[in-house]
Amino acid sequence: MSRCLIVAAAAAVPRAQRRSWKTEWLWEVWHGHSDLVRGGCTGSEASWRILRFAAGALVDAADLRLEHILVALNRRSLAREPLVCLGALLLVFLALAAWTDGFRHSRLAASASYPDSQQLVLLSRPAGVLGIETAASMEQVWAWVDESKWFGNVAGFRLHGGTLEISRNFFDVLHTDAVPGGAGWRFLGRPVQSVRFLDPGSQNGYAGAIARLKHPADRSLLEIQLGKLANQGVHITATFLDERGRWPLYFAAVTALMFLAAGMVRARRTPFYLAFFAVKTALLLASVGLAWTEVASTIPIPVTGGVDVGTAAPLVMLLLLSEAFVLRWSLEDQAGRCPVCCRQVSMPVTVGSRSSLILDRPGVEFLCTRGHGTLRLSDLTTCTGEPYHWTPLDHSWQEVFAREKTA
Amino acid sequence: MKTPLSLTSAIILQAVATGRRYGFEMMDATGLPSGTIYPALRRLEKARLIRSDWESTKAAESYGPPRKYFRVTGEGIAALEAAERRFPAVAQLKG
Repeated sequence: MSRCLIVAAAAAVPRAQRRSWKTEWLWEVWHGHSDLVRGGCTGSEASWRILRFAAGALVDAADLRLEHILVALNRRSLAREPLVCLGALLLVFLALAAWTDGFRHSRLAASASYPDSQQLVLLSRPAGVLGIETAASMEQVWAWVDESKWFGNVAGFRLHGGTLEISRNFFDVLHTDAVPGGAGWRFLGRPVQSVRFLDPGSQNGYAGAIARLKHPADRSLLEIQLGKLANQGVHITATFLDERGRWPLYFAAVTALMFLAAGMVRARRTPFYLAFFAVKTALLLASVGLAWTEVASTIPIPVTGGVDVGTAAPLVMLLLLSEAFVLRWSLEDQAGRCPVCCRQVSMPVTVGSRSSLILDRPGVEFLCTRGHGTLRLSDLTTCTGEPYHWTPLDHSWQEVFAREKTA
Repeated sequence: MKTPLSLTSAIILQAVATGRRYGFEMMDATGLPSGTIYPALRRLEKARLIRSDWESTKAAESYGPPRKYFRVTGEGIAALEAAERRFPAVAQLKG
């Protein structure tokens, strides 16, 4: 039992000291037990006292490990560790999640807004200029809906400040029983303080129309149907409400994946190096993408279901720039890491000569603190685009770095 | 040594000075748990107040495997005297 305890505790001891530490404790236990038995202790009593003695090995091992960590901290080498980098990024991600209440807006956008909301579509009419949509002509919509085999019902609405003016069948279309209008209720991302029913005669006063499909349908089938309608002279665009609500999330996800793929292509090396890069970049891109989605999801959806170019364009630009920025940082950070152990290189030394640009180019050479190799950065990289040059060191160098391998 | 010894370190140093050479003996003599004694011994050794060595194989052959033992250095004796002035109770452990 005591032996098992010591062997288990030894796992926490830094590798360089492990063997001698284990020997010291095991022999001390052996002698302690022998001394106790020779001193007249019974076997069980001696074992119990030795077990108490061996329990101290756990404390001693933890103390050694802590000491080792503190020494590493003093050498500021901890910051170079790949796991520390990932841990820091994970902390940033978790802090962001905590700050945004678990990415609440993104989750709301991803979840269904109304019962059977996959059957809800916003109807609008192309204005014919730059793809801009305007409110659908309700007279036409109603006439067409009567004939259509697709639409079950259609309701009109108009948002006027905090007041939502609606047709009588509005909540039938949404499949919600109670009249919401309470605190916190939002429609198309806009807060609604009060609800007012409009007279059936004021159909053309509606700014938007929301329809419920008779059955769940995919976008392509619906577009075919709307195409047939367009041939009859009625141009209508239908936008699935859920799809429109999730647009920021989809866009951020696709953009992040594209940037990640672009980064992976540039960072090809060993599997460990690539895995580290993938996790690091994914954490960064996910943080940026979700933070962006939180902002984008709070922006109200246009009543026509289309895209408000004035708002969307700067937002999209912001996302692209942010993702490009974090990818660039990730690539630069990766370039400054050892391809074997992923630790950041250090100990910069100026090499080369400024008067010899051909045979002995000037630059800075860094060293992997574990002795895996050297990384040379040319001073001319900015103007010549010269890549970083990694030179692996053979095993004969390992002795020089033995002190660094205590973890 | 610049930093004065703590009471625990002084007690352990006193135990080594009075001939308790092994960790297990020190635990018996001081009543301190082994989890306190060993880290303290390491720090005392780092401060050069004690020295540790492994018993020679010859000595060990007569009775079990070689064992690590501790002894006080000159600096350790000076530090112990200073600690005894600070903690009179430590001096009483001599007997």
